[in-house]
Amino acid sequence: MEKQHGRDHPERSHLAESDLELVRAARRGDEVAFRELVDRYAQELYRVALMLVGNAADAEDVLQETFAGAFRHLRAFEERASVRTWLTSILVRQAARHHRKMSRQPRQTLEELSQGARAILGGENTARATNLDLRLDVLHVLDTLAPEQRQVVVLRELQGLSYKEIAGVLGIPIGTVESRLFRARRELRERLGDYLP
Amino acid sequence: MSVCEKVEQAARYHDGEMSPAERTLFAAHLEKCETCRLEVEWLRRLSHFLGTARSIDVPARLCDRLHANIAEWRARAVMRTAEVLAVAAALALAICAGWLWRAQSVRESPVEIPAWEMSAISLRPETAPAAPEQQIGWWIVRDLSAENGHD
Repeated sequence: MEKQHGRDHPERSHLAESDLELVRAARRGDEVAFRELVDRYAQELYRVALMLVGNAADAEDVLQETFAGAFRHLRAFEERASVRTWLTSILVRQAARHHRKMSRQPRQTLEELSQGARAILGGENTARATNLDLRLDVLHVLDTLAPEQRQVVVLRELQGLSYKEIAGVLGIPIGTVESRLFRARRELRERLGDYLP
Repeated sequence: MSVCEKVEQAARYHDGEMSPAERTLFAAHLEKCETCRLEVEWLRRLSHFLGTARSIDVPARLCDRLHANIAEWRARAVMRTAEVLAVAAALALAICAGWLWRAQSVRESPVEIPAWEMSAISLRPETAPAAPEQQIGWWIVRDLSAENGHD
């Protein structure tokens, strides 16, 4: 029996197909396959977009542009990287374009951190790790970084990409990824240091 | 706290970017180096803190909007293909039209008139031209204008 696909599209099932098979099907004009790709990656790409641009409305725009760009360039995907890395690199470019358009400057000061954030950063064993304040704190903290530092931190810490994958997404050498990550973490340590117990 | 020259390697250790051999060596170093141990501990806490953002959910209406937009993106892609084809067709038509026009103008260009014909229409019958090829024309004109005494 054919499994029901996604939300409201019982016409064909793509659930068992790999990302690459979905891309190939979408290239042949199969919209349902592309919907499945959207369902698979919307969640994690939205988080990355939110961390990169700093607010929900802009993150939604960036995500829409990301999938629109992926749809437009399905034929340009050379299958050398994973679909996840390909979508992430489109997202990062869209976020960077958005950032240039808005010409936002990193904020210079960090607001008071929530109790949950202080507990985690202070090394306490806490289960209070998913409240709203904490997520806002992460957004604020990342907002203090320069865009190129924020990119590597988000791709490493949130997406869990390796240095090699980050280098591929950003089109920079692995050594540059390492040094940017090192500087970004040092920056965060300095900024967060004042707010820790 | 003293600074250890290996502290910059802590990030590669924490991020899982070391080879198994490097990892074993650095783990042994951590046993005796407090600077590096504190650095790894700090990186772990920072990752935990930043990782809390993974609990952010995508708004449900956004997924619905993305699904709805796929048909629109597809329509745009079809339109773009149609535009490209239309431009290519227009270009091909323009090239063909230019080629036809050029071929037509070559065909309509005046045919070169032989020298004896030119002589026939330009020479006065009384004077015989000196050049032999012009004399042919002169004779024809003289015969046709019945000045040779024959009917």
